[in-house]
Amino acid sequence: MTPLSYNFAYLDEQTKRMIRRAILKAIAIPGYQVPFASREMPMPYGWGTGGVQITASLLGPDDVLKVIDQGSDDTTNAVSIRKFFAKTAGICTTTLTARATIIQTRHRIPEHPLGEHQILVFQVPIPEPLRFLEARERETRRMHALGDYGVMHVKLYEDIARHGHITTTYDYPVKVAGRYIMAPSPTPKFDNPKMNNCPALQLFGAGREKRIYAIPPYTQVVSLDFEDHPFHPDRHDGVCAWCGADDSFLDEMLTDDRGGRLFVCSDTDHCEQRCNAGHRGLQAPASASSGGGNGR
Amino acid sequence: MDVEAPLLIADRLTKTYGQRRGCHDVSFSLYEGELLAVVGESGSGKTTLLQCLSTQLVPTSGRVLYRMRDGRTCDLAALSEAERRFLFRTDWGYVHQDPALGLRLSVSAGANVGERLMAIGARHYGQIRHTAAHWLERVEIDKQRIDDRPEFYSGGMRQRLQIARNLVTGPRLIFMDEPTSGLDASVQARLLDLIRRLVYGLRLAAIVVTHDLAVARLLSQRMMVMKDGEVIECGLSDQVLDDPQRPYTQLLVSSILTP
Amino acid sequence: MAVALELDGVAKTFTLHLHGGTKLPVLRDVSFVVARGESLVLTGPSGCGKSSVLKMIFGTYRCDAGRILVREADDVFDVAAADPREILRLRARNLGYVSQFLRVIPRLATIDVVAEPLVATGTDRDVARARAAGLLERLNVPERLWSLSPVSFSGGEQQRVNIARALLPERPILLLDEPTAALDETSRSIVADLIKEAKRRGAAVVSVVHDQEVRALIADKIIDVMRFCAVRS
Repeated sequence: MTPLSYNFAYLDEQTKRMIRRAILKAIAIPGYQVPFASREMPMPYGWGTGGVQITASLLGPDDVLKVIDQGSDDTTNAVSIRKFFAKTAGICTTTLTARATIIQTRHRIPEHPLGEHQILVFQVPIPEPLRFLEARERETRRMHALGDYGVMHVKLYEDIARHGHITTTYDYPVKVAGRYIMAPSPTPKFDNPKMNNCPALQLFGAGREKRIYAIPPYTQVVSLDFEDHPFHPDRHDGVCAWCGADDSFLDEMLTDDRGGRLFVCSDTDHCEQRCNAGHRGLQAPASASSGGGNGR
Repeated sequence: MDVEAPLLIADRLTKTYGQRRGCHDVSFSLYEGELLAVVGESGSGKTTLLQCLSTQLVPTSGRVLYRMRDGRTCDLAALSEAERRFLFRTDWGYVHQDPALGLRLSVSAGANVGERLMAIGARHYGQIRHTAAHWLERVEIDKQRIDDRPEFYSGGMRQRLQIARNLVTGPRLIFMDEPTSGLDASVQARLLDLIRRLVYGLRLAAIVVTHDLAVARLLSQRMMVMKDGEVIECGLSDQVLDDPQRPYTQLLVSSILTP
Repeated sequence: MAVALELDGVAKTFTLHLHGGTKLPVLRDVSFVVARGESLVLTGPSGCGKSSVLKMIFGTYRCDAGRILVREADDVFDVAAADPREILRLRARNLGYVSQFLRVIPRLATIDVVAEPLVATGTDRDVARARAAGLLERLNVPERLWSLSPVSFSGGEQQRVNIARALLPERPILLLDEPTAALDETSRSIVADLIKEAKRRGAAVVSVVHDQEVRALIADKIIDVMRFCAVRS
């Protein structure tokens, strides 16, 4: 059997051009969802095909790719995608945020501040922030076109009325460049402030829904709230058990079936770099649990 | 009362669907504080007329002119969609026959009433809630139910909520499409009273479409009778009901069942 | 003599389209004047058109010919030729009407039924209610009824509420259709007093009254409507 050979980064050049055009349009209209002709990818919908298509259209032979999933470089998803690009593009991959030129992420923004030379590619399940209150695509498009966003605040009002506070903790809606309301993908609200005035280009891809949107570098991104219930980037009030960080987003890990648990940095690279620099939490990194970088 | 410009002018408004007539050559003027009833049986074209007036349908010919808050009178067809939507949200109200169409059943009453405020930029939760509670009271819904969803309201309550939702931005013109049909008699009576009080108390202009002559008599000072898309007769409500001139009007009036 | 109301050649015919277009002429050539402070009583057998005259003056019935002139200071308005908005204006300012049937608003409290016409023309609600209370008291409508809707009242009570509603705004022209029909003797004389007071402040009153005593109390002139009857018997 002759081995299959792929075009660089799997997609054909025409497709990449089409996607790049969509990306350019998205950058020109920050926060606006640009439809694109999403391709069949060798992974099912719901596994990051939107993000993969964006990454595939942007990769060049000198790029260094990092892929994370919930902050971690070594989940099945992250590993598969990294291997996919290593195989189809032959580019270097890394777990170090600082070294990457393109970072594809599912549901988290890295703790390490990003630079102008970097692109952050988000995997997005539902690109439409208004979808839960308005099921009709035709209506939501109209609402965006006319800036008719009352319904968004209705949702926030409902939260406060029912629970005393806004209960959205992830995929928290934002207003981009004072115009479009956008769904930042299911990143925790803790990460929302990182999107504001970010030096890196942020791109969002939804493969199943066939939409691309963008936040150009140094763009204003404001989380929606009420004057008397302002936005707050909540995090669990704790310290990473491994590296001692008290300002990173923490994951809860169960260690046994008797209720034992640990809180550790969700961003594995961040945690590792801190440990390498000598920071320590109350417990040394457990060798059996997930941790440490690989996939180089 | 000084001579003032009309608030809404229908000028030879016509809507056809191929050969079929929705409404034909309808002209009238509506002034601030006036309630006009459009009466007719099913198929008379009254709802088509209402939808043309409220820009939900594009007329085949004719114009609808509206006097904006700044005093200038505009042809509604000349407005952009954004301007029309803004008008709909601030200056106008539209009460649907089925309140489910005019409400969000899955969000609370307070959110339903507050939505328009939020849509025009209100950003203080406490104030929005306070205003919503005030309007619930005005439509005689218990303030305690502000967090209940209208899913759990009766038909009459839903209709009153729909009215509150429409009134919160202080509109000058309200369109009502059979606001009381489908409701029990006692509920109807109560709702009509409320509508009457609010419309006259707030000096709103209103156009109420109904097939029920009693509703027209109770609510309106002027009425128009329609049949097959044409205006058969119009005048003061008591004129049309007590001294009907045209054959169809006489037929309609004589058909009222009196208990 | 300042003429407040003048009818000139007024005619009314009903066309019954439901009965093959039968024409029913009721009145022809109705002409009379009523001065300020004067009270005219219309008499005649039932069906001769007395109520119709009142309704035409009020604008409820359209007239087929003639003019109905309402004088207000220096202006004269012809009800027969007025458009709907003008008629509404005339009613609000000049014409008070007590009809035989109270068009009752189901849930409005009596005090508000009576106060409403005043409130509609700009009077403060509390002031209007206070004045309504005074008038209701005079008409012997007990205070415990003021917060109830007149729907459940007796005929006599409803009639008194009706009268209060029409008389409260003190309009220059009053049209009274059988104002005392359902009332007992005491109430009848109170109503007669109220009509006399209205006359004294300059109102022109046109009424249809069957009761001889009341007629005697209030009428300055009497016209038999049979004079204008369009049907030759």
